[in-house]
Amino acid sequence: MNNNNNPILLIDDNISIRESLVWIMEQQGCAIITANNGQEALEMLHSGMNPAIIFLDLMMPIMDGYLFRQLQNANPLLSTIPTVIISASGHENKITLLPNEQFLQKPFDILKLLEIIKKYCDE
Amino acid sequence: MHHEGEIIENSTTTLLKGKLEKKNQELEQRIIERTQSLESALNAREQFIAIAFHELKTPLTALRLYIDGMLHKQVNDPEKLAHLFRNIQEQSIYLENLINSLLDITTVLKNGNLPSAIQPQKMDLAKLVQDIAERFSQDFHAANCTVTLKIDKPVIGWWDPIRIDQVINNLISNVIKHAPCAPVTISVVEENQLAKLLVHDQGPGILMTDRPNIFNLFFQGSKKSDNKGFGIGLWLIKQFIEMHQGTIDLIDVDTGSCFLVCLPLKAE
Repeated sequence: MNNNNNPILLIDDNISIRESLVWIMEQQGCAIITANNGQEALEMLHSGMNPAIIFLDLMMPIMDGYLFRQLQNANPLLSTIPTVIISASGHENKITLLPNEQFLQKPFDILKLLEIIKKYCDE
Repeated sequence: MHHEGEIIENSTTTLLKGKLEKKNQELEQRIIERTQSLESALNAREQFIAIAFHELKTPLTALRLYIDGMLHKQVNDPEKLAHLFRNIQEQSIYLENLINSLLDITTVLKNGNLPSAIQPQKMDLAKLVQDIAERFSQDFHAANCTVTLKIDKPVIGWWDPIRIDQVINNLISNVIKHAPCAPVTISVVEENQLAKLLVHDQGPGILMTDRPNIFNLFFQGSKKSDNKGFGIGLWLIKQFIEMHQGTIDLIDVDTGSCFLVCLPLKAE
């Protein structure tokens, strides 16, 4: 287990997904901060937030997950933050633009989610 | 040396050959056009299925998380438990509405149009708009949209409440999806035996090139980072409005998008 007290950053435009994930993660005793889209998340990261892990949705307005990931990877300060893509995307051809990524396909198994949380979040 | 008969025969053959070639070219062109049209219909259908999967998986994910979470760790606080059950109920209703919309679309794809029957009953459009805006209050807040409701008095008419609910729902969902962080004004008035619903957001608006097509089936805006939907919402609500002998128009405004729905108080 990683003794990382930093919060989890969840980026998803869907309020029900955010609410349910926040509940699960808080149940595990993790601090969690949410962003509605990639741009909001980037602003948080640029203002000094240092999350233990990022859970990232792909299809979002304003800035989608693909662009967020590109900009994150282009910034050496942000590119090392572990990131898990959480997506229900049917745009499979676009997903190939993100090779070697950690994916959780929606709807996902809670045990897989908890396994990842345990690895990065200090309970 | 050619005989006169041979010359006539040759020129007739050349003429016929030319006509045949022209006919062949026309047929080939028609085949190309037909193939393109079929390919485009097939692509639209595939795109629709991909988006339908995505849309269905979203409430399903929330439902799985709530239920699995409760099974994984017992929730003892009754208030928290009641809140979780309300969320589960909301997601189930959302899923049901989504499935009903998908059934509507499937009917269209199969038969070419929707069943035209509506079940009008006496209802207050102003109250329904207020209720739906209230239903979306959390989403408006999350999208950072400031909502101004301009409703002075009840607007009573005879309409199908389920279909009209879908109309309002779609217009408001579009605002949240496409005009986040922008103010929105929703007004309901009665004028000349018509109920008029106006939804005007101050968002980025709709591209001029997209405007003529926004009510077409499977049309999706050409803006790159748009949150794509089925490409059926506006088409579908136009059908519902026309079933009530009403109209929906995209109004020219300086900023954002403005949709005007006019419904006769009682359809003939």
